[in-house]
Amino acid sequence: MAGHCNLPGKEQQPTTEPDDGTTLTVALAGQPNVGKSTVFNLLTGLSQHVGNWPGKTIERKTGVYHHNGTTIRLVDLPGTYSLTANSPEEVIARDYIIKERPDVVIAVVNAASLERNLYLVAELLPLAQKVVVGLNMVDVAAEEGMRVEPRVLEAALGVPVVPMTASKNRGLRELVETVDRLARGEIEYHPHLPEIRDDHRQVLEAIHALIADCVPEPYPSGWVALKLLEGDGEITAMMRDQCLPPDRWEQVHKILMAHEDAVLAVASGRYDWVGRMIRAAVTRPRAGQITRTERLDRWATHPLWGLLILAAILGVIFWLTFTIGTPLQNLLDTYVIGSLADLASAWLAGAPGWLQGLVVDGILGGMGMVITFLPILVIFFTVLASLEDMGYMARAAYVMDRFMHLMGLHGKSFLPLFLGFGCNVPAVMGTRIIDSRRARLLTILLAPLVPCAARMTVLVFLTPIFFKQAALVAWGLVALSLTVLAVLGVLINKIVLRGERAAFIMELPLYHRPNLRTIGLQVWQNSTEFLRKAGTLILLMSVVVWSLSTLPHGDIQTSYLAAVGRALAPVGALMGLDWRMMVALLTSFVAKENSIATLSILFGDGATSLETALAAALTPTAALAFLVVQMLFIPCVATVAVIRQETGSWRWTLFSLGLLLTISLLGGIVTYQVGSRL
Amino acid sequence: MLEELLKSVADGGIHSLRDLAGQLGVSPEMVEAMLDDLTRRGYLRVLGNGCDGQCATCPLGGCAVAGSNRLWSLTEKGIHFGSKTAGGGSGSPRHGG
Repeated sequence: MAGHCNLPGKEQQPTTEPDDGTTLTVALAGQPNVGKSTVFNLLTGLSQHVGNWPGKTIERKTGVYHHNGTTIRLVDLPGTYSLTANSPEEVIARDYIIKERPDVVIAVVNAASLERNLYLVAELLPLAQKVVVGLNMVDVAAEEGMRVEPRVLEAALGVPVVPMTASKNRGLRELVETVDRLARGEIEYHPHLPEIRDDHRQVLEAIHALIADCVPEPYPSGWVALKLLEGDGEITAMMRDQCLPPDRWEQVHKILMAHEDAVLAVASGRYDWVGRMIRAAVTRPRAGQITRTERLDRWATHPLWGLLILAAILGVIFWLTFTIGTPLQNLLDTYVIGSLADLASAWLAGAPGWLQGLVVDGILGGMGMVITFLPILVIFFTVLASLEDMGYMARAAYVMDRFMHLMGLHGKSFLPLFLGFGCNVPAVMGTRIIDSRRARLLTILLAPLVPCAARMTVLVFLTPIFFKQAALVAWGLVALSLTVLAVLGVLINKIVLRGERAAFIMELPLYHRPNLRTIGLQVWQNSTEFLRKAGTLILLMSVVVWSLSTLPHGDIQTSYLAAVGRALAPVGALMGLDWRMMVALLTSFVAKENSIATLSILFGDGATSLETALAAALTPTAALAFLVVQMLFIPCVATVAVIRQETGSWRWTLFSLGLLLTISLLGGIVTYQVGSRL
Repeated sequence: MLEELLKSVADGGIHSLRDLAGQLGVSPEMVEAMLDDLTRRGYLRVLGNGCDGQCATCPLGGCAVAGSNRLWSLTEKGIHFGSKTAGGGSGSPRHGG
């Protein structure tokens, strides 16, 4: 009996050892990614043999090692998350344990992810003869600052626990010795099994009573009853088709049908058990960054404060825009566009009048004007990119969504809408994450009400002209948009979407210092995108608008455009807007920024600045009405195209356009009529 | 625990991992393990890039929705479970803890 322990080291050598005749069969079980293969390789080395499980294409590895004169046959079971018949691997693993009855099962777990791994142990304990838990990757756990107490875990589980770091060949010796001693009965073995919850215990007993005498060897009858309750496919088929007489099955079936929720209840019971084990033996220290995030989130995700913080940030954006952005924009307008205009006039002095007009009034006046808003957009993009990089945006989305939920929008999640703040197009596309088609259609309906960067540009352009408290008014209009969105959402939800739900769970990232390079890159990308849009869509519309406003006689008041505008004038009159404003609204369909371009072309005449011309043509109330319409108006053509694409329905697209048109015009009319009486 | 998790999520809206952990009285890692389990059972779905790669042109680029942090959504199966057990069902207090 004096054989020495022949544990293979890094260099595996097959050995011939005097055998005292004892053979043990040991199975190696574990979830994927716990280092099971490493353990297997270290123990069996060159003796391993790779084949297939009978009748399956799944690989089967067996090997041999020796210890104290005993030969141990090691079988590597397929890595599985549980022992329920969801996949062939799980059936193989549990069939082996039930039918071959290995002397010991080594359950390899990853010390750093016990919450997951112990679930398999919970399934193994009632089934296997004896289990040793190989607590692997203790080095990784230590690195993460976790403390796992093997002795405490052992006491809690009632089975031996061996800490290891298989990748560094540590703990294998202890594992082998423990397996040996356990097999010989030298270690007390009293596993603390997970228990089924009280409310299902009687059901389980009822089923057990019905099937106990029909369960074939070697299946444990109690386990079979549990698996039936869990809805295990293979066991159910076996009992129904091969073992139980039909009338008995009927009775069992009735019980099972009445307790469909038992499936999750049984699994829950196991997680309760896992939770107890973890609470006893595992401590995770909360690193500095985590606590800082948690502390900040107490405010940032608070239902009330979180919302206020969001509102404050919006206020700051506008304040920055107006104090830095607008002056910059004015400078650009005066010095860059102005100079270019002078240059062009001089250069085109001899050219036909229409060419001068086209270049100076049309292109420079229209597209050029829009481009001067680049500084404002850069500010906007920078703030957004910074908040995103810091990790705040996830909180903003979370808070807004919860607020919607608080407002009775039960079941609707507005996560995709949140993307609309940059541009409505990704917001519409983002609704793909909503499973239910009806819910998706309705979220798409609301997407254009999210104020996009382009709409905000128009806002920032017009508010300072008419209002001293420009930032406040701008903020108010954004709040209005969102209020309309919320109200519409509630109405639609109540009337049309009864019972439809969408639910999301999100992992809030840790806050971290913003990376200037990332932010810079993002802002650059967004800015070039804007300039590209200006150079194409807006340029085009500017040319079209200018042309239509000068043809056929070169006089704006008798132009084709004026004819169109005058047709819209009656509606405009209700809002205090003349035909030029209505045309500006019309052109915003192509791109929101076109409003600015159009106004610049139609109101600008070189002598007075656009701002003065506008201030003279509109009362502040009318301007407010215009802005209300603009904010709630039908979206730009790009968004409409994407709506059509995502809904696959012209009817729905047209319906959404009609709805928004109605809401916006009504909003504008009410604003003007009420405002002018105050 | 799995059922509580599903139920607290099933009435819709958005939930953070940390909040759920607090509600259930377990660690966030435990919630994550259960979320993965529920995903394997088909009650939840892990969302990848929700906007199908539009991040390049998106002004919010790499955002809260489609960014690197995980996002789960309730599937039809999960919604069905939630609504089924929401009203009535076993209301007995849980033993053990």
